[in-house]
Amino acid sequence: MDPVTNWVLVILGEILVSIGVFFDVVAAIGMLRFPNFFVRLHAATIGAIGGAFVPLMGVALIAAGCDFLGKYRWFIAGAAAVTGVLVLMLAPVGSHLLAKAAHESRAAVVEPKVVDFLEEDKAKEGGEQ
Amino acid sequence: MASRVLRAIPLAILVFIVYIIYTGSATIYDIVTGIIAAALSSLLMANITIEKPGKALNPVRWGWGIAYAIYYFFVAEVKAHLDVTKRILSPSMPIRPGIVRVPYRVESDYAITAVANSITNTPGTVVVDIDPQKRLFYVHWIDVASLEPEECRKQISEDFERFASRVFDG
Amino acid sequence: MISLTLYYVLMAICGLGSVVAVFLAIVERDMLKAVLFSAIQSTLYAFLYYLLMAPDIVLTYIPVSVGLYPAVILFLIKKTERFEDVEMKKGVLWATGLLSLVFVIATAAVIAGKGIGPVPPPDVRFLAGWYLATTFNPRVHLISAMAPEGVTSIVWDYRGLDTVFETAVLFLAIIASVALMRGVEHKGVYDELKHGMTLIGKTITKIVVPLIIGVGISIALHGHLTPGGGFQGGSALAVAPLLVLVVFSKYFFDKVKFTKTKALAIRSSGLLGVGLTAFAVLIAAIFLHKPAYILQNQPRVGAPLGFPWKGIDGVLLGGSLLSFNACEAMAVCAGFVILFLLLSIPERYVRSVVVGGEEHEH
Repeated sequence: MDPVTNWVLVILGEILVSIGVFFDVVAAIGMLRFPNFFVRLHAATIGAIGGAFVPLMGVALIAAGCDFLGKYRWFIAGAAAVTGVLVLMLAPVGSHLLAKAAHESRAAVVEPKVVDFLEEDKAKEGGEQ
Repeated sequence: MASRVLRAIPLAILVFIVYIIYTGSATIYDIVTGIIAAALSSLLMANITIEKPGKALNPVRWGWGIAYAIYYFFVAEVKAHLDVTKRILSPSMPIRPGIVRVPYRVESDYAITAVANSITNTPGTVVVDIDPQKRLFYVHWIDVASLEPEECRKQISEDFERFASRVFDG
Repeated sequence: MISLTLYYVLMAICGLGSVVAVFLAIVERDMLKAVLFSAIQSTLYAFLYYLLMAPDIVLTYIPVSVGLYPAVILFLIKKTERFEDVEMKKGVLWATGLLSLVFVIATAAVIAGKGIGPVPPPDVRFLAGWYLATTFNPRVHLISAMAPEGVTSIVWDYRGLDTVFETAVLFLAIIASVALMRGVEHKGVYDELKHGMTLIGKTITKIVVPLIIGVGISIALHGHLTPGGGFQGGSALAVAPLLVLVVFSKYFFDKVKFTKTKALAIRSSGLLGVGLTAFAVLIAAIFLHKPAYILQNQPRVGAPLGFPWKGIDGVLLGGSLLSFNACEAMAVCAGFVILFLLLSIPERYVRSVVVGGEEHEH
């Protein structure tokens, strides 16, 4: 590929990786500041999408723009892209199942809270049975 | 058997594309082994993964899928990331967390999953539980703006559902 | 020369530091602090191994002795007492210190007297250079493995016999577990609403499992070109049934009629493939009346037959490595599936079958 395309790819990729660094730091701060498990999950989401999916795509672009890697650049770019898509698909399932398990086992308390309709509905169903 | 092969076709295409991208090269060796891998895994999983093979090969649905992706990555994700980042970094940390009911109107398993994953993947909302009988998501929301299920749906998932139903339903 | 001196100084610091850390760990009465000192010693050892150019040992040493071992000890401390009741006597304390010192001086004397032979120089050693020069080299075809991935070449060609035996050991372990659990058949009717995780988890698993199978096959079949290989590919493949097992429940396997016996058949044919590949050149040579070796990959001096290493369009086939990797992936994946299926049988059920059988005999 011509050098201009390579440079565009590398610079775009580096921008994406920088965005990833920013969101990773934000996610870490959020992890420390947020009050309970469920709210921390939102910080974890930032770490998974802004902090993992976006920089992985950036790595794919950087690798694709690095001519000196020869044919191996497609190997790196492809692995990064597939990993990114898998993270995109699997991270939310993980968050969801963790949240469900934590709520069901009462390992984490939804506190502070405005409302917990799930708890109310469960209590109602329990009462009916 | 015929239906199994028919169902396997869209899955085989998907696996083959992922195989070639993951391998990162497209020599004759990669293409031959990729076809073998795609045939093996898709025939194995066809009856579990695919119900209606025609749906997966419909270009109109693919168009809507691309529109969904563009809206999702460049509008929904950006908005949600900036919103939660502001909450994390602001000294007073303005959060009003709670679990609300969000009804859904999409039909197929894939549409429901796409909507649920879109909700969870946008920072600020996490699907804690799903009730397929009442057609409800229970969503942990970082800033509960309303207790009304319909109002919550409007704010959290309506846009996702509009795209997802066009991609996966019907 | 300065770098070499620095190298030895660093090694000396690590060695002495770890002796001090061990001493402190022994005399410390607060168990938590003692674990910390032990972890410091482990870290120094890991660094020492790194300096001695044994990165593979570092890679196992760090997780085990810095991570796992202290974690287990901490867990035990949590269950028991944090502080030692018995105060160590002054005499024992001094004796321990003195013994440590004697040990250090004695070791130093042995090393200084060339007791462990020459210390390896910090550059590429002859053996490593040999592997680099012969792994893929068409100009010296008679001593080359003709596959560009060094690790896989060493695993299946240079030390192929060892790997075949490893495969056999793993196979025996799985046969043993099957034999242990013989007669234990646990089946159930899969209920979509009752079993497994939520709809979201199941739907994503449906899409991800074929992709995992594709990626696993890619890892296995490109083992002779890029990092990966049969065992790695098989392990990646085994994740797919494991996901189904966890997300859908064990009874889903009964619904799609995937049984332990089928997995055992796949495993056995994989192993048969490994065996056949090991003897392929020899068998061909018997028919062609030519000399050959067991586990032969490429032609060697006096043994002119070998696997093809180059396909059409200059594609590298990796000789016997490709066949070994494919068969090994099958065997490893199916072996893991058997173990998962066995382990997912509820313990209460296994006990009832085992104990019931014994009562029947009496």
